[in-house]
Amino acid sequence: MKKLKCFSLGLMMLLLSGLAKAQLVIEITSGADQLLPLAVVPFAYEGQDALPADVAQIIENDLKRSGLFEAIPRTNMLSLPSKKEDVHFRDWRLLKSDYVVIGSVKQIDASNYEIAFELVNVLSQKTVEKHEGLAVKASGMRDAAHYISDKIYKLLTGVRGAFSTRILYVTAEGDRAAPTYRLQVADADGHRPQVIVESEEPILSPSWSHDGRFITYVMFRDRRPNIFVQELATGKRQKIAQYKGLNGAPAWSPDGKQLAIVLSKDGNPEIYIFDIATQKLNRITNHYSIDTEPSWEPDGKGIVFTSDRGGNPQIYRVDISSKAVERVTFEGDLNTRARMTPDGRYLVTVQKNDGNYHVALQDMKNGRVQILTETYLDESPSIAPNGSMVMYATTYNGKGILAVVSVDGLVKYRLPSAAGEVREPAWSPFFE
Amino acid sequence: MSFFSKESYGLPMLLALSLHLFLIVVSLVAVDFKEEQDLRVNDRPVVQAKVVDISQTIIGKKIEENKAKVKAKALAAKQKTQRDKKRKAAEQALKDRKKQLAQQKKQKQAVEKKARVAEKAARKAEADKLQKRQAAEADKQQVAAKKSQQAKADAKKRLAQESSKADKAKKLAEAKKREQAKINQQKAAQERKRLEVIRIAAEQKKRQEEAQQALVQEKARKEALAAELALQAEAERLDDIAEAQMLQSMSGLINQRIRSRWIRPPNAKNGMRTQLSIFFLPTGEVDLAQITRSSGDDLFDQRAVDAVYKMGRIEELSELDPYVFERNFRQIEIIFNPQDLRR
Repeated sequence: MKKLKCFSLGLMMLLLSGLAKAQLVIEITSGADQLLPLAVVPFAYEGQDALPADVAQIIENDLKRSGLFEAIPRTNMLSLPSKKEDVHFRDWRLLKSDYVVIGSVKQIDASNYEIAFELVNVLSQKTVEKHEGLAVKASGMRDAAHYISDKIYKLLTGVRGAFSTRILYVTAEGDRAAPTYRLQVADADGHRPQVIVESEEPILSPSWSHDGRFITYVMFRDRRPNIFVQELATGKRQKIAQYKGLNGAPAWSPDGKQLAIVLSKDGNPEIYIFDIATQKLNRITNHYSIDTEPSWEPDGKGIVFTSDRGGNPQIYRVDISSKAVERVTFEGDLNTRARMTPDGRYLVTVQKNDGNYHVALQDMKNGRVQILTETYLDESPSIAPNGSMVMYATTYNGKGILAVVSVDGLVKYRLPSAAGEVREPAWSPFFE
Repeated sequence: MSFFSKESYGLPMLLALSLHLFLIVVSLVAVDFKEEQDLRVNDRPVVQAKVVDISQTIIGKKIEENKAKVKAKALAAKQKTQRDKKRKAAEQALKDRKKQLAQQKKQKQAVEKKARVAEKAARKAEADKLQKRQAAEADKQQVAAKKSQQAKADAKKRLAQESSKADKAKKLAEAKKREQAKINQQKAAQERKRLEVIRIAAEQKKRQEEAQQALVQEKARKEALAAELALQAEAERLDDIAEAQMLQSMSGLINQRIRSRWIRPPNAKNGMRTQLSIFFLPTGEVDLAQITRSSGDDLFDQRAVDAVYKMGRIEELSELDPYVFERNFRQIEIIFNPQDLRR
């Protein structure tokens, strides 16, 4: 018996010695989620002419604007390396920079340049991404910078960057009683605006086709609204709807073959689907109250729209095949101008609460609503193709401007203001 | 009715009872073993993530101090037992030496005695010899006188007779002499035998004493060992507790350091899980962080690795006992498993 006890004790000790070597395991279930600190070192330049654009600065601004990064100020940098072998990791660690972007621009001839860049992880001292010999025209320097921003953003956030995208918007300038309306296109950061259409009569509801090649908008002619489709590259324009009464709010279907439009030709505003190939109309809603502002769901199976059938304007959803309608928004005094995020998870609306109009975000999964903006008289929200940001029109210092808010409501910025009033922004899709 | 009679259930019952008893005892041993193991598992480092503030590092230090105290105590006790042992050993050596001396003396005495006895015997033999010789001479003289007296009377008549008589006397003397030598021999043999008996008795006694001594020594040794083992076990138990507490606070510290530097990518979701192996240097710096189980999302994994490298040097680790460090912190596992995200 004693022996047995002895034996079992020995066995236990053996087992314990095994246990004693058991690994220490620590589980971490929450994080800090500060902004990711990174440094975009000014790119080295080798060339005759003055550098057309400060590529590193554009990249830094892009990343900072996304609200996910914190850039180390240039004035704090201890060195300005342009090659990995010149990166003193200890210095960058001291600056608490997790990543460093380095690069160089080289002039090949009068209008051709070559860009190289490298994204380096300061902590692991490894190269995350390296590109060399990116051929760029002098005029394309900003595009190149946005392209690099997109690359870095994707590598560091896992989400596709939307810095190379563009925006459409309408400006009204001149005499307040009879202003000049201009439909313009610009980089997503508001730089390089170009006028597409100019008119003495209002231009409304610009929107992009899903490949970004075409746009559609409403333009008044002789005080009557018409819907146009225009190819951006050529400027070729086609009038697709000119019915009696209201013609408005065109929205491209995800497959690019159809337009959802609002027509009041049959009495009151209803949602129709216009097939571009067959030029045929298909009425989707049928109600005595106003149905307007259609927007496609990402899968193209349904359309969300604004209707006052419940007494005041709210967002409803119609199933295209069954034409069954259901109410989507219940919070706020009213909700208008619905847009869905590309993943279909969130619905962005303009919500009125106590006389104030703000951009609201509704979680389609649990119905939770979050007010994203604090600005005054917000309208026309439009979502970035990566679903991270919402651009909207608002008033600032008594003037209509464009502003951006992240879908989590944490990042807000205003776009550089052009002359006059700016309205109706439309964020482009990704350009492939 | 007899207990063991065929009709009685006594024997089967006894057998059944003993079998049950045996089974219970066996199961008790097994259960005992299992419980103790579980217990040990519990105070081993099953460390849950816990927030630890600076005060806990002080606790960590305190634990270290306590541990040092316990260790010092154990060391002192060990030294004392060693000292005792040494002293005892010295005493024993002294005793042994004394005994050895006594024994040597005894042996010397025995040898001397033996020598004395032998001398005595030799002297006696010498005396006997002398006496014999004297007697023989006197006899000779007597014979000579008689011979001269009778020579005149029996000049030729008793010549042959006389010579035979002398022969006879000579023979007698010789026989007497032999007898005496024999007796002497016997006496010496007896003496030797007696001495042998005494010697054997002494040896036996000595052996007994030695055995007794060995027994006492063995007992003392065993007791000392048991005491030392108990002390050691207690020290180890206290060590284990201190170590478990230290592990708790240290892992809390590491957890907090990493957590405050962990920047999750925007696509991170609750329930994602990455496991890393971290290799520390004794200086408290991270030598290497390796993904041992990926979340399936490279970026999520990378940010976990980044958070570990950003932790910097953990000074508290460099202050650990090298053995404790080696056993617990040369390599640790970190699981990144967010529960606080919005989605």
